[in-house]
Amino acid sequence: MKPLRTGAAVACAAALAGCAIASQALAPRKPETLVVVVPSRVDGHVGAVVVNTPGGQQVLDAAYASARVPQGRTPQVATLGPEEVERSFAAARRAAPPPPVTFTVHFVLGTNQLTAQSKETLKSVMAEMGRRAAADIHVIGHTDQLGPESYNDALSLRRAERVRDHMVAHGFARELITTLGRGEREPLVDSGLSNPENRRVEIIVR
Amino acid sequence: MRARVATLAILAFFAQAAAAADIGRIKTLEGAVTVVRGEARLPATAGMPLQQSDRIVTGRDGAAGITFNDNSMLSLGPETTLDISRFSFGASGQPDALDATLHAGTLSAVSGKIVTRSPEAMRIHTPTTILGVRGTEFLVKVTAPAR
Repeated sequence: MKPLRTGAAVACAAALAGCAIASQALAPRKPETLVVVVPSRVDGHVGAVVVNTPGGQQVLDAAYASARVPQGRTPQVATLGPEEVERSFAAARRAAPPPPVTFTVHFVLGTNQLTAQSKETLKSVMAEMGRRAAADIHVIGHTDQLGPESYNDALSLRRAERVRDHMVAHGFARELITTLGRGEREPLVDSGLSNPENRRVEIIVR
Repeated sequence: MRARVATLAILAFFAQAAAAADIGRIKTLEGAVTVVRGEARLPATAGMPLQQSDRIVTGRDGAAGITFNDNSMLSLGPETTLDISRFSFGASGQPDALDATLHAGTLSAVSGKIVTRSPEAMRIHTPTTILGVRGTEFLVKVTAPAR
């Protein structure tokens, strides 16, 4: 490496006009970004990241595709080895939280009662809580797409609160539960109608 | 004039109320980790709720993992400084967004519902680039200039 740099410096002295690259290599270190796309630990899926610089865009969409982005220069794209990536990012990856798990419960039609299956689901929720450190729960109510949006917003929150109360009565810590109502905005089935599948409450354990 | 002052006061109130909402929690913790919130420097604890504009700083032996309300996850390695510049998810009349700024250190990231619904609404800013996230899992490292 060293002889190369010396060579570059000599070339620089010989032709001052063309020494931008060499002078950057010798200058004090400037900030540099390294980004690597990795397969999902959950299902192996490989996503994509767009690297935006003043000079343009670069899309990374393959496993271990990386870009090194020095300040004010074009990103250098390369595919890295998994071991090399693991070495550089071991601590950050070890600190990754366990992925949230979502459970869904339903009411018996036209009642405030959870279905028998949903009561079983709550046992799984409790078990999942026990497996996690610093767990908390989001309880999110949803409605079908019939009726005014404001009505459905209120209804979905009531559904979430009902599930929360049921959970608290069965030993869940109230302060770890956040209730939210999403109304009809996140249908499972986008039918635009009264669809019982959309009348549900999601329980997300984080 | 008085009306304008009142309006400003109301806006300031709402801005504060919006900023104070929990956006996620610290789930994993190792070594020394500090949450900088305005003037306050708070020692991070497992389960600690985070707010928009929080800065997370890890020490030489520190690491921390955050799960956001949309299921996005960011975890920090040692000697890392990360600002959660903006987080908005499912708020009516406001586009979903997660903007985080990595000033130095290492970051492991998994996208959540924000990206599922609007690709590139999650952005990681660094001193040399802005990363638009279209999906799932990636790693970022910022080497800061020698001081």
